[in-house]
Amino acid sequence: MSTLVTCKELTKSYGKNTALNRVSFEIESGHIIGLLGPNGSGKTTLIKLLNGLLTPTSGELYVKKLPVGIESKKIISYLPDQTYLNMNSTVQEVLDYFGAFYADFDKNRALEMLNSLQISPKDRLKSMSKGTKEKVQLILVMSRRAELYVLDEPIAGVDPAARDYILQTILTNYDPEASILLSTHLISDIETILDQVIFLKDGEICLQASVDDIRMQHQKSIDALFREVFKC
Amino acid sequence: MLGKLFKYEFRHTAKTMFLTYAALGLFTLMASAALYRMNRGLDSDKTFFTVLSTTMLILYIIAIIAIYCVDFIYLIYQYYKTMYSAQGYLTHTLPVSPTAVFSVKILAMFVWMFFSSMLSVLSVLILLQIGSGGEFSHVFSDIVWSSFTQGVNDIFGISGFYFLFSCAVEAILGILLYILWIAASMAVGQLAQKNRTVYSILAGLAFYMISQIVNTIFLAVSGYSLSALLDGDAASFMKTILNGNLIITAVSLVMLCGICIYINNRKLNLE
Repeated sequence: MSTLVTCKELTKSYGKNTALNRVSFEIESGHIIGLLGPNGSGKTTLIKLLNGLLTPTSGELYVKKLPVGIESKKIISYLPDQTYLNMNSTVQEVLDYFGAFYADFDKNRALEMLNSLQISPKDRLKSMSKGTKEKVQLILVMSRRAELYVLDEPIAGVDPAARDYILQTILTNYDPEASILLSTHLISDIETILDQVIFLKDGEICLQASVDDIRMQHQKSIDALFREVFKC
Repeated sequence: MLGKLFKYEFRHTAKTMFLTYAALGLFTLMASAALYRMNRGLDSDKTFFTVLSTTMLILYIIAIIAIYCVDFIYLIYQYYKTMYSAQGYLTHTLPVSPTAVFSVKILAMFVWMFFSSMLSVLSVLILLQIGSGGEFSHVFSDIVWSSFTQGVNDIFGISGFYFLFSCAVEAILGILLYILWIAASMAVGQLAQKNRTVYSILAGLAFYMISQIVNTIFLAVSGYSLSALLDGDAASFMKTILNGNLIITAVSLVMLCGICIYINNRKLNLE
């Protein structure tokens, strides 16, 4: 196992508001890590920093010992919490686009997954339902042979059947040597696939541990512990 | 990677741009036919056709301005959408440098707007040529061009070709300047946490005011050449204005470009 992400004293402020406050952690390869916390806890900010969409106020962030940049973008496959594709494009055009820019994109794998969902590559994204668009985005992201998959709220806003499909797609399509950082507040749905969790509260890490350790120490499920820690 | 970025950038915008070019072509042909009929007096005894031809010419004038504006607004909107809106998430996670992304987008916009400008000029020339029944080119080459070059030479002491070339360079750089002006305004605006459009407009106004101040200072400093014009030395005046504008435009381009590159590299702040 090697260290994929190193985060030291990372802080991100928006004016007077501190979204992340001196956050430090490491992510090793070969894990599925849940980035858990209520709305506004700093999950998306952390993910955006990791993908170079925001610049930190202070602190250090490295991906495979390199600062966030071109090299880190080559090995991180990122699914944002919103639709980020050109809606006028067909699925085929988006596949070509990913294939052109990401050397690790496996087009055949994407076509297989699309076929299993009976989504035609000729379909335009704007003609699809919200759930189908999210599935297409997930297929694109999971069709990369990336070293780190960063998935921001991949199951929010979709029906339970679609959630099952999304989780199944994640589990069956990632390389065991790779890691997945998955943010959500729908813990009960993803608890079974996680092997580590990071709890974020008001921009600070309040817990980082393996799922097994938590169950052993607290004798509780992650969902129950989350409800206890973040009780209003 | 630059080649791929260019390819997809042009592919992304080509459909809409070619549609507007086709519309311009259609309006040019219809207006040319109308002008031809009017010029030949074919509609003089037919009120309906006279009104139709006049309407076509008015529509043509509106269309040529509107199409140019639509092209510019569309390209700027696409730039905003793919840089600072939801699609920016994909743009900025591509394994290419932010400077490369920015440069390709700006150059692609410039190339489209350059084509739009050239096609607008070509459209007017076609209108005049067809509308005049082929006489325009003869009149232009025999009378207008020689009078123009002679006049420019007499007044400013420079060749007409040099004068037109300088104006063309200024106009082309002007297109790039406007594109960068708006791009820099958006880059500054996206630094705000909310009301980004408002902040972008305010930044644009600030850039405009700064450019006006610089221009005013330039005119004040080059006041001696205005005196030269009053003393009858128009050549010195024109040379100062042409070269001065070129320098101000070049410096503005570099500064606006620098602002965009700095913000996109160091201060990116996607919603």
